[in-house]
Amino acid sequence: MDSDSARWVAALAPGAPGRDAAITRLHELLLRVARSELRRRRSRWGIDGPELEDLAHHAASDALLALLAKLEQFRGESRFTTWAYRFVVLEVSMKLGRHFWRTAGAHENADEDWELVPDRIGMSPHARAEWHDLVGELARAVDEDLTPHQRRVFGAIVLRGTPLDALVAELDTTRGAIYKAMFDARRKLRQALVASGYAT
Amino acid sequence: MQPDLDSFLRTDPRDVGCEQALAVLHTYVDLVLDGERPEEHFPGVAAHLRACGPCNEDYEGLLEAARTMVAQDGPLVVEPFDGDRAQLRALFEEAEDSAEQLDGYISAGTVLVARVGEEIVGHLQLAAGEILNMAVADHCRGHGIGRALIEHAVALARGDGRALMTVATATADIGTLRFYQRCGFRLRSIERDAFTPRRGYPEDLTADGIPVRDRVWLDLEL
Repeated sequence: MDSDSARWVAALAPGAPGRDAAITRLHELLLRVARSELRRRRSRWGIDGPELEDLAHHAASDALLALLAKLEQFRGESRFTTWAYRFVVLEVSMKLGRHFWRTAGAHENADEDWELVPDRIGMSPHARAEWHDLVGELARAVDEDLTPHQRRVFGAIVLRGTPLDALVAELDTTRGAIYKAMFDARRKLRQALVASGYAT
Repeated sequence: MQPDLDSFLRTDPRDVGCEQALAVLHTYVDLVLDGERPEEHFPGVAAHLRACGPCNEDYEGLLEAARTMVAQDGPLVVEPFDGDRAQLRALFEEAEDSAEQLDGYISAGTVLVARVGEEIVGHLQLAAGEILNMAVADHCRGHGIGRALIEHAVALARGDGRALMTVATATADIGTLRFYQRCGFRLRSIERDAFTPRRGYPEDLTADGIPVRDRVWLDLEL
C-alpha cells in the first residue's frame, strides 16, 4: 500500500485521533467528485443547478457511509483515493437512475419504436439503408426467442430508450442483472439472425 | 448483417459482467494512470467496458476524477515537526501578536503539524502539558484540522503521563474560546493585563471588536 493510502486508512480507522477531521476531509473530496461527475453527465440526464447540487450531496454522503462500512476491505490494490472515488461515481449512477423517473415520467410510457433503434445502437447513416430489411426478422426474434424478462429489458432499453440505470431503479434490481438479460438477449437475437441467413 | 447491428448484438465470451468489472474498476483506472495496459491484466473487464455503456461511463468518470484530483489532494496528516521552526513562524504569528514573547518560547516543547499533501496547514506547540501556540491556515479553517491537532496533542500528553492539559488565550478572542470549550476545555482563571505594550503587544490591540487586555486560562482533564 502506498504511504498516502496507508495514512488515509490509519486516519479513518475507528478510534484514530483526528478521525472526525479525516472523515470531514474525505467527504469534501467525495462531494467535489460527485459535483464534477454530475456536471460531466448533466446534458444527457437533464439536470442542473440546485437539483445537481442536491444529488451531489446525497451521493457524497451515501458514498462516505458505504466506504466507511467497507474500509477493512481496502487492501491497497489501488490508491486509496481512486478506491474512494469509485464509491461516489457508482452512487452518482444510481442516483441518476432513480432521478430519471422523477423528472422524465413520459419516458416510462413511451412506445416501443423500431425506427429509433439505429440511433440507439449508433448505426451509421450508410448502414441505415439496409436496416428495414432486417427489422421484421429482428422483431420476430424478439417476440419468439426471448424470455418475457429479456423482452421487457430489450424493449425498455433498445426500443424505448430507457437508460439502463433507470431500468435498474424501476425494477429494483442490479445493473449486473439487467446487463445479463441484455447480454443473453443480444446473443439469442444474433443466433436467430444467423439461423435465418441474415448474419454469419 | 450491418456492422453496427452486428457489433451491437455480438457478445464477447470474455465479458465478465458488471459486478466483476465494477469490483476492480479502481485498480483498472490506476493501471491507466500508471501508464500500464489494463486490458492485458483484465481482458474480461476491457471486453465488458467495450459493451456496457453505463459501466464505461463510470470508468470514464472515475478516470477523470482520479486524474484531476489525486495530484491535488492528500489525506490530512498530523505528525511531529522536526524541522526549523522559523519555517512555521507565519503560523505561530497567527496566534501570537508579540514577536518578543514568541522569540522567548518558539523553540520550547514539541510541535505537531497538520499536513495536506505537502502543505503544512496547521500547527500546535505543546510544552509540559501546556498548549503554547496553535493555528490553522486561514484557507483551511472550519474543516476539523484544529480539533485533529488537539486530539493528537491529548494523545501525546497522555503518553507522557500528564493528567491535565492547559492553554491560555485572550479573553477578547471569542472564536478561540468557543473552539477550546467545544474541545472539552473548561475555564480556570483570568490573568488581568497580560497583553500590554511592556510585554511586546501592540497598543490598541483588539479581537472581535474587544480590547485585548486580559488572558484566560483553560484546562482539560486527560
